[in-house]
Amino acid sequence: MVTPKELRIPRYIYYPDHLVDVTGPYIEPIRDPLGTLGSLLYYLKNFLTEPMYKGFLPSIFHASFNKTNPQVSYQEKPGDVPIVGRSDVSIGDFFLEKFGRREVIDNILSAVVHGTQGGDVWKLSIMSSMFQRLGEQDAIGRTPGKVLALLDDVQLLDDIAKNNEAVRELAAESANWGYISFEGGFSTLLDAMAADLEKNPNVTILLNEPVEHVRDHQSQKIEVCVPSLRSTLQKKKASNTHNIDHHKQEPGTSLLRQSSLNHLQQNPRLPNRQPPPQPIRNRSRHHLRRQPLVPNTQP
Amino acid sequence: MIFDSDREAAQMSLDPDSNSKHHPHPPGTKFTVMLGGHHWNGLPDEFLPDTASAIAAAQSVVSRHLGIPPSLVGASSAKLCRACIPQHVVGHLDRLVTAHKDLQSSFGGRLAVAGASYSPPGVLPGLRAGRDVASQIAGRRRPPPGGSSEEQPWSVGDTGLGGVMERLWGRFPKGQLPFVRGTGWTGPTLKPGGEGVKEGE
Repeated sequence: MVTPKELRIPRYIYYPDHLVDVTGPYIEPIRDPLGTLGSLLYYLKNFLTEPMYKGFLPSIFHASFNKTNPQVSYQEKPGDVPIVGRSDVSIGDFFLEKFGRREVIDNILSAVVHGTQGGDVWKLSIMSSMFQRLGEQDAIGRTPGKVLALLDDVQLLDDIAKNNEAVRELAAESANWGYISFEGGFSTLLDAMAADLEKNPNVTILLNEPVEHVRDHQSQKIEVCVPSLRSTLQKKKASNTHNIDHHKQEPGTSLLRQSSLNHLQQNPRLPNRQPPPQPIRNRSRHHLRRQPLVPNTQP
Repeated sequence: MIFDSDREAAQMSLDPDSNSKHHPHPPGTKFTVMLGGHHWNGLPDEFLPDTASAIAAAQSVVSRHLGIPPSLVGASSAKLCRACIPQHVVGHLDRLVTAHKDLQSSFGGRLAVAGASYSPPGVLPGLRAGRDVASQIAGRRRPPPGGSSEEQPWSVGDTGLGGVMERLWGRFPKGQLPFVRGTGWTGPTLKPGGEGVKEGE
């Protein structure tokens, strides 16, 4: 499904006891000047009267007039690329340094981060967040007219674009699209990929399975033990997408050695101990046994 | 979309009995209410809601936020997903570097990882991570990076985490990027020898 660019999806933040519209103003000054003016006045009124925006202007001023110096240390040899040495901080601390006060972080930023990552803005890493590029840009410095991007990302886009005529056509058609979505939700895409993968006899997909241990088998295969099969799967190359419980991580410790996959072994009280019922429309029995590991958890 | 609808404490006192029937596709508008997040960190198990109280809490939130009374709710379901969104707390990249080295030393590059514990939150980064690992396993090469004239393996390496060891940033004119939102495909662009910035481990 394609949503036209003109159709804006409403967004709200609940603060302190009511919803505040943060969809953004409707800007069509040529085609609809009165509508544009009305929308701008509406958001101006919200901005001046809603407690959520307390401290917003001083924060912007502080960020504008107290720019942090790029934390780049250059190597000595001519021609060497600079090595960036920004130490990681929380998203909250990063913006606190910019804004000089907490209100905008606590009232707005925290809500957005909590709504997308379900996490604490004062604990989540800026360098592993949706604001990663801001963190890097802060460290490396801005170049007018240029966009900072991970080379890997650009190469991936380049690779996709060069090798997929259909993607290029889709991109060309999408100039006036707002959002692309699936009628049956994002799982439509995942189901299609899983169905395709399962046609390959070399691929085994296990979901809702706690991994008890993974070890390097002497026959040059990786051994993955899951209780329900009462046996082990052996793969020449295994790919593990299980979540690691980051709440229990301590800095500097290994993700693997913790084996903290306990959250996948569900509490007996929980309603989802058994796979939840699924709509059977257009699904074969083959699909019914496949349940998402953590279904519908992405905002 | 209402960001952070669980900012306030959800009430768990309504009777959910009349709202627990399940129907695959009932007519009407579907609401998804996500409760919890870091506000529930450290809560003992006995304080976590069961299905009935979770439904009641969600209906209470919808009632207070949107003015829709629970009596209008036709069908509801609830599910508790513990630790379902990995939290990349401060120092996460350092831990990924450690994990990469662990995977290398313990499995010799024959075990790769992908998923929300290792890449940014959301479905798309997960799909991308899977694609990266698949490209690596298939032996595909990537275009030459800045300053190089030869194709190279994808940076995810054998573990899926190789990209955290050395992250190369580049400054690109906006029109040079392969896809730009709103303009679609802008043609083949990436050339070797671009301006690069390297972030060491």
